[in-house]
Amino acid sequence: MHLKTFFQPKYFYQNLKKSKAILVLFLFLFPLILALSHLTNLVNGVVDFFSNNLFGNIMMFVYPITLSFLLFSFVFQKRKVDFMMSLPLSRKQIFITNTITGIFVILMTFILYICFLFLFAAFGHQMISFSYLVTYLLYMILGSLFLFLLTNLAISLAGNFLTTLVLILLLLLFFPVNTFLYRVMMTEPHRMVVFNDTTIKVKNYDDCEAYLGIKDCQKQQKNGTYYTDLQKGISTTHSIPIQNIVNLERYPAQIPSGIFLKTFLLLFVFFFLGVFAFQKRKMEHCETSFASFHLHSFVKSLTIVPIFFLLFLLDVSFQHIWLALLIIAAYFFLYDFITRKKVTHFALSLAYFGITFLFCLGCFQFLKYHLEKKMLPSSDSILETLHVEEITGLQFSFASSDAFNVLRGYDLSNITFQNKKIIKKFLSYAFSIPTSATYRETYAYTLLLKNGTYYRGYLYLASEDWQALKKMLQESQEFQDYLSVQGKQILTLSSNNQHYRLQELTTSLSSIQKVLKGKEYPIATNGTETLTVTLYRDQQHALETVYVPYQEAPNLANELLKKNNQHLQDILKTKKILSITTIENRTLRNTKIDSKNFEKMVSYIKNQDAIDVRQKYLKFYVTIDNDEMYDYYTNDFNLLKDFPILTQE
Amino acid sequence: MIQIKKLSKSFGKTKVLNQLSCQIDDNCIYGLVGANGAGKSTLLRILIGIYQKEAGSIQVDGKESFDDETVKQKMVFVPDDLYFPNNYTLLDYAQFYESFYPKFDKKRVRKLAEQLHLDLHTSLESFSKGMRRQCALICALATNAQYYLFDETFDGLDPVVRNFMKKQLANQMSQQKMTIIMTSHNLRELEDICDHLGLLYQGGILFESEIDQLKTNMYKVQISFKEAFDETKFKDFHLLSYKKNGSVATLILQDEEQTAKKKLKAMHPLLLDFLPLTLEEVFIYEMEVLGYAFENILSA
Repeated sequence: MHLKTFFQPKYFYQNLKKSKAILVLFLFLFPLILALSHLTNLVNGVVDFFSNNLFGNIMMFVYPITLSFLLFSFVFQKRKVDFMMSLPLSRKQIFITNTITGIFVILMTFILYICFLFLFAAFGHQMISFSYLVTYLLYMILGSLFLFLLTNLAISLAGNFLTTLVLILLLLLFFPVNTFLYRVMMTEPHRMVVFNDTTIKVKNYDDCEAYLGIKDCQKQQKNGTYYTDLQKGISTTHSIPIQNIVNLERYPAQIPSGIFLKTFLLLFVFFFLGVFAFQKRKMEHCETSFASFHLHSFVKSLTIVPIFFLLFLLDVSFQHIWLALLIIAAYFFLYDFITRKKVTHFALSLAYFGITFLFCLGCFQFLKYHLEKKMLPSSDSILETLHVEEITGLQFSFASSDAFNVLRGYDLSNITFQNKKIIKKFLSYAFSIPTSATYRETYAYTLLLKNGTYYRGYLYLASEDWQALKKMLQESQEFQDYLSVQGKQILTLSSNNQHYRLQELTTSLSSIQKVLKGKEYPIATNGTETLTVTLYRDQQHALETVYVPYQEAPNLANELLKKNNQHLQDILKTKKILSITTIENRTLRNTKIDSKNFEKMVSYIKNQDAIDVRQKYLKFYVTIDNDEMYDYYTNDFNLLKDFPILTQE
Repeated sequence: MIQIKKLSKSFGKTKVLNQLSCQIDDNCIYGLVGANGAGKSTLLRILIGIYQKEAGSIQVDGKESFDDETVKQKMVFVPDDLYFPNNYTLLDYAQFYESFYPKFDKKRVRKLAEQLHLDLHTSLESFSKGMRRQCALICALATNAQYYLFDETFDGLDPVVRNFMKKQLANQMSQQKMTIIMTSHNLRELEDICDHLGLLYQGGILFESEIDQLKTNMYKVQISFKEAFDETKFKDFHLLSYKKNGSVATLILQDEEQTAKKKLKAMHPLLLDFLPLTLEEVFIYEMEVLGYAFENILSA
């Protein structure tokens, strides 16, 4: 089969030519603003692509949807339909060529974005993590393509602009919203779970007695079972655009592992459905919602399903539900007026409304019944028995904590422990420790099951109990694997008042581990000045974080700097230095060392020892031959005599 | 050749085309006439593949036409309501068509534009409605396609341009194999261009014929006699219509003209005039023969 059966290069060219004005605007404006927004969003001097980037989040939606309308909106106007569809192109060719045009424009946009990003970063000296950038590009490109193809499908199905918007929202949100509501319904706090495994030895568990009474509890404990209250839920993986919405509430942004695969697969689903729908599209219906009134009513009904579920979930009172129903019914008819410009088939609309209401009520009642059947009716009944072998993973997160020095940053939250022995050990250990009245932090743990459900519980532990539990977990292979990072990590050393600051790339954890050995600074006290030492696994995930009281900070900082300067010296002595720039000092502006003084400065840097950061220092940015950048510190103010340019204000 | 068999199409509950069958031969200008909503534009849109048929078949040169780019490349469609991409000039528009039609003749566009005083570099948005229609026609002609579908395209063109376009079509037809299908709800718009006419009514072709044939075997006669007379006086003729106003009668006859003249002269009339029939009159009397009131057929 010839390629031109699917794709028409001449039409592709005409497509670009036809929309050149708006495309040029898009192609330059969007990447330019996105690059600038990222370059002003720094974490420890490194560009943070995901978090606090409202422009990127909004544009992921607005840009591909607008692009799709630009290419396909001809289907909503009769004269445009006549013009386009009478061209000697098959429907398949039109759809596929338009889609390829859109994909091309999206890819071009991100290529230009990379160009702008590196261009501006070169002048602004911001650091860019390459792997982080690749993840972000993949995230944005897949997310944009997802919305572009989804809009193409919606346009192929709907007859006018408003109905297309409704369809986009439905295709995008219907499943996530209903899954969320379903999850809310299925998440039952305080459900009692019996873990059943003979290898687990329960020493003491207070709540067991509360549920079963002392005798039964003791009897059960002899059998190797134990009890706890857990919250049951259902795990779901969103598509990238939905995760983007979810991430608006989260810091740092979360990128679950399955999200790329799910989005990628859905791209193909939307594409093939789009081709099919466009081939079958009734082009004469270009100003109304759908050709079929039943299809129109079906889509209209889908829009109110989440609203009904929410109403039932909120357990709205009888008087209020009538009012709510009245408002929804009004919306139901208003929808007709807006999308079809007329209200017809009144009885049929009413029937659809009634059927939707009854369907939702039926579903809700079924789920409610399903839940009630499993609910714990009284203290001597058992709700659920869970065999430890059914648990496939164990994860940790903070339930309420503003400090993460104890748990070593985000490290544990990014690890899924799958080793059965570790899981058993954890369960046995966690439930053998009584809840501490003097607990400092609340730790949440999640037990993952094969069928996609999970159980979440909380630990209220004293510091020493947590340390012991942590030690046990850190011995696991998963933890060791997580720490043994291949490649380089980012080390950040900073204090509250920014007197000490170092960003450095190290090849291993060893330097920080050596310095910290035997020293524990577990608690950050609010209001006191502290030095924060963090070693990142990558841009998003910190491995080690320690808050050091101010009195001890200079010593620790110097020790770390010595280690890192040694490392830096090793690099600088062996590599070719391309450029040296002074940056962000209180007395100095960003200034590049000129060619006259360059060799002198290189020679100086290569022979410089570590500095004492308690003193005022000069900071330089050093670029070496593989384009990596290093901060370089010196307190040798005699340099100012040698390089008069540095004295400029 | 375009062969349409039992073609049906509905818009909702309205049946627009109902089991329509017809054959459009090569090298002819086929005029489709019918009231507003008769299905003329729908038929053209189905032919070019904009709309999908519900039943029946359309074969262009023996090949099913729907959504086949090779068949569509033989056809060009000029709709009644024209669309031009934003900020396009006539030259841009021509280049657009050139991308899709391999035989497109850009020189011809330049030549015709010059003859019609249309600037190639002016935005089409600044042109009048009639000028834009001329641009669309010029580009359509330059495609050198085999089938031209004009939906009420000539309606509203001023007589000079209309005549000019008519000549262009005639020239092109003499040089290459081409078939034109044009629609109008006004018979007068078609009579001087078309050589074949079809009347669309209630979703089907009610009547079709070659125009020359229609006009040659039918004529109008005005006649008067000394003595009083009535319709029975002409019982030996194939009388389609008889109207008498005072002493003068107007007859529509469908007989061999010379024979009829001889016979009428032999009756020694005081007044005898043979007048040509307009196409509309021919249609009216043909429809009357078929038992339809023509006014009802051509009025929306």
